[in-house]
Amino acid sequence: MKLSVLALGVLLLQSAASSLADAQDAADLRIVVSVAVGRADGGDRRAVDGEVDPGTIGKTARWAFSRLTDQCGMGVRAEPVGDLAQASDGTTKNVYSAWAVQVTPARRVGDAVTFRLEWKRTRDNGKPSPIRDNTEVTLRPGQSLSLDLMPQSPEAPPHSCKEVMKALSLSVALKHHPEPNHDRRLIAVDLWLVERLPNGKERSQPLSLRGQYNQPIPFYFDTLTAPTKSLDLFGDLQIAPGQRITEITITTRTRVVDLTPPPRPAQYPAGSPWPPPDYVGSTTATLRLVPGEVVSVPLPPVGNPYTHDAAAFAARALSFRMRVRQIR
Amino acid sequence: MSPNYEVISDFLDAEAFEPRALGEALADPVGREILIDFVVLRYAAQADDPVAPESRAHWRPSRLLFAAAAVLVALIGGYEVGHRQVGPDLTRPPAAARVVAVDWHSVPEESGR
Repeated sequence: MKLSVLALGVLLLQSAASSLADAQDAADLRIVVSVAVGRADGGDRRAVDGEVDPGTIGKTARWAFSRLTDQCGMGVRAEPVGDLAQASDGTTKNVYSAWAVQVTPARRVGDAVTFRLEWKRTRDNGKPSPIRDNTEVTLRPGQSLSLDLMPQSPEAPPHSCKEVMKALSLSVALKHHPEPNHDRRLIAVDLWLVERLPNGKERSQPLSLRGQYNQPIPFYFDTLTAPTKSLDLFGDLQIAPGQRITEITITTRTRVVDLTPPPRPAQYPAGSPWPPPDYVGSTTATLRLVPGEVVSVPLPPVGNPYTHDAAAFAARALSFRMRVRQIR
Repeated sequence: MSPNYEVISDFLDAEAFEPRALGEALADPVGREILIDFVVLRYAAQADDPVAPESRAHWRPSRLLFAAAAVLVALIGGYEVGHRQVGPDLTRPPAAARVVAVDWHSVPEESGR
């Protein structure tokens, strides 16, 4: 009886663990083509987009982005538009400005996605246009490319809109999927800044962080001080999900400030903080670890190695200690 | 999951017992009540037992020893469970399972003066 209960417990634990791993695998990438509406008041606003899974190699996705006469925004549909199109209220209107876009994923190497992109202006302020392009693009997650900017005539209808539409811009990006608003997964990071003292003991600062996969999780440690300098250490972590291995990209920023600065020069710009930092540096690294595992990551030397700015902290043996786990 | 209270009886009867299970049982308030009940019951039973005074006197030190041990186990068990409920002390980093020597790359950034 006890053995059967034990076996059931093991099975339940395995099931929970595998469903967690499956949830992590669901995160992937999307090629996103979007048209933003540029307004005189408010600047560029994301309007509409179409997206395709880069894993569908060789399969072409098509979209038509269009602004209809007497419409204040943009529309997107899968079929091409002609001179006329149906508005959201069911009425037929003239197409005022439009693009036809097609994307064909070609290959994926790691997180770099290559795809064939073909686009053309099918309507430009109520007229046909010869402007088009057909190119191969490679993007990594978070990267984007502007493709075309179509100024909009101030005389163009609709006159009923409060906002003045200045331009429409077409762009393509590679984004993580699902987008943060739809991603319920939550990760917890225990992060310590550890300093090993000359007597062998450790001094540490703890931080307890929470964030989402593929999104920067910022951290800020308290200032470290030396007799004449102070060191601000901050940065962000970006964590990519994996079935058994979690990949973490750490970006560490250091700022060394003189604690005994000379008097502020009279001509120094008003409103600018005094003293300016001796040094501002940024380093990045990627590591892989098992969820729940505690690892130590030695920090690179602080400051510019070619100046004396970092000398005050050169002997400080600093490292991160971290543990990452998914809690939802 | 509720602790195994039978281990308290095994302990008082001087039978083989699992120290960790006893600690868990005594860390629980119910377990401590059971311990007290068992001790009182055994004391009452021995008081009614028509044994020779010499014999009872012979057992008294060991009973005291048992009681002292029970109190000690209860204290340690209670401390351990209380410590577990508070959670890990995040102010002190746990020992690292391994040191990861990463390859740091400089990122172009604005420089100071």
